[in-house]
Amino acid sequence: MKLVAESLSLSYHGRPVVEGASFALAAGELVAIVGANGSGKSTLLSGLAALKTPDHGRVLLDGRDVRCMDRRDLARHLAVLHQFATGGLDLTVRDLASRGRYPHRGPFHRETAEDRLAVERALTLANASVLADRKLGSLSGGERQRAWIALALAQEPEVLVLDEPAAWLDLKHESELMHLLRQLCNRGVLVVAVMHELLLATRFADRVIALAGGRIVFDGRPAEFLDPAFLERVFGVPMTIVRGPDGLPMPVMATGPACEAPALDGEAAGPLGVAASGL
Amino acid sequence: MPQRPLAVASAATGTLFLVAVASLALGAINLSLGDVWQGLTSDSTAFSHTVVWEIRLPRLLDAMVAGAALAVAGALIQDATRNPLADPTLLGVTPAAGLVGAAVAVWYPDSPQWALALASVAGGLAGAGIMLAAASRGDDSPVQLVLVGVGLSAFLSAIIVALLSSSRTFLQTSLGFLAGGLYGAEWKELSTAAPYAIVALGGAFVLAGRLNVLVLGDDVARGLGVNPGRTRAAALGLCGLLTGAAVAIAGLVSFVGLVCPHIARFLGGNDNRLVIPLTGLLGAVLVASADLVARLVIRPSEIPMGICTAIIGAPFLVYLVRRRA
Repeated sequence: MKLVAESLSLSYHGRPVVEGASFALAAGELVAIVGANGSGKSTLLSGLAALKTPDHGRVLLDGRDVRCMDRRDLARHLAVLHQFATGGLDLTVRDLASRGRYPHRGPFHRETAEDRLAVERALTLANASVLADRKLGSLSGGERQRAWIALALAQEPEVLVLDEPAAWLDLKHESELMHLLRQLCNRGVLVVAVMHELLLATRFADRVIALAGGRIVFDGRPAEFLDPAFLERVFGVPMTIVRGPDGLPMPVMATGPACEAPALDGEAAGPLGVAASGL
Repeated sequence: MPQRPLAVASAATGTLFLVAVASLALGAINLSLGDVWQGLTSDSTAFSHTVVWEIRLPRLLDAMVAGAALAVAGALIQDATRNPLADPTLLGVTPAAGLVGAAVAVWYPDSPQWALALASVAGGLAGAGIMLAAASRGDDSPVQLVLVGVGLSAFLSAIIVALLSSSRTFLQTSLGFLAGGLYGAEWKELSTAAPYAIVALGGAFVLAGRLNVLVLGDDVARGLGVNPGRTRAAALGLCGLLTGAAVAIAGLVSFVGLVCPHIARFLGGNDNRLVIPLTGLLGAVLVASADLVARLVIRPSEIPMGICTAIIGAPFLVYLVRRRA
């Protein structure tokens, strides 16, 4: 599967937010979309998933314009994980995941053994098997997130589009999610995720697409993205790159002069210093 | 708890059968089962034949159709608005159907029954249209929707009462209409209103698979290949048809649309392809039993059937709200 954006421009509530985005994504890539709040990340994602009509340009899935595809047909190839999904609170996690089979089964046909297998596989992959019989309304934010991930995986998509998938997750599940996404990529799934957490994005993704003011300002390997001057332009705060204990570069916010703790100076004339020198 | 769909459906069907038999046998005059059977099968001019065939059977079928229609209308409006407390009466669909039906009955007293049924159905569709506009405009806010619905409902109910009081006629009939009742319901109510209800019940069953996805949220539904706007419009349109047909038969019956879907989900799980038919069955059971009670408590006279559904429905509403809290 190949997902191509051709000079894509999108609006949000009538205001243009993404302008002239062009890129080609291939199967097996793990792509992180990063940028400051309001830079157009989520809108770009909606455009890729055909949830929004572009003002200009188009999105092609294996050469077919996604806006012209039958929605159910598209849903058999492309799954979306939304950032604020609030429905289905009365459903058990397994019921929720099994609704991911809708695009394959349609409104009338009964669940087949293949459907049930796909649902159990999705629950296992999303680490939600232990939650399967619990109602969504009784779960914590992170547990719900895993249930929604299971729904997307039950679609058995070739392209998985996620908006802030690590939101709500604690460190353990965050790391498990990233390994899951990597695992899916290794099986040939194209994963595109909006990521808030720069460290996750640069560590796990094969490719980073950075947005600033609705335009793509960077598209390339994470290592090349980690440039302090560049990061400052994208996020508007001074950044530095440090080496982690494993030797990998990590972007961190540089502390400006205003934030620095006052340096301790042995010669400083304080009440204590005066007393000490008097001895 | 669920996962026994067949058992639950058979139990509901069995209950409906028992209520039906009781409805045919009991009343101002009790008939033995043998009399009922004879009344049903023989086309004699026997007394039991007249009672069963001309009075009790049409009234029973009226009750079953109105109950199934109202209950499924409730399931549809709850899913379409994603609000478990939604109900055709609460959100103004029943009053809209009642207002148009009552207006035609008061202003054109000689209207044939089919015109009254058509007027109720048109009113139901108009009420559903207003709800659709409110549901599509709001930013997914259930509170706003309920406020619009409650306002609409109160407004229309007030006009209905004003209209009926100004007409100075048929006070008894008006009371039966306002509280919901099947006093004097016969074949002609059934033959003019049931076709709308039966078509819409079929439509609701067809829509069930899409509603399963719609309840997850508009964005999620779109992502799974269901058009949320079109599905919601279809659900509310069918809700309007069903409500209109029920109002034409039984007047303004409340609470059936609220409670039956919840009982069905409690017994049958969350798959609408099972829940919707089960809801219809339960609605038929509830209204037929309410009518049976209404005919028996002060026999040979009777109270409006809608009072009995409210007496069962209102405490259940309180129970539901407390359980959710």
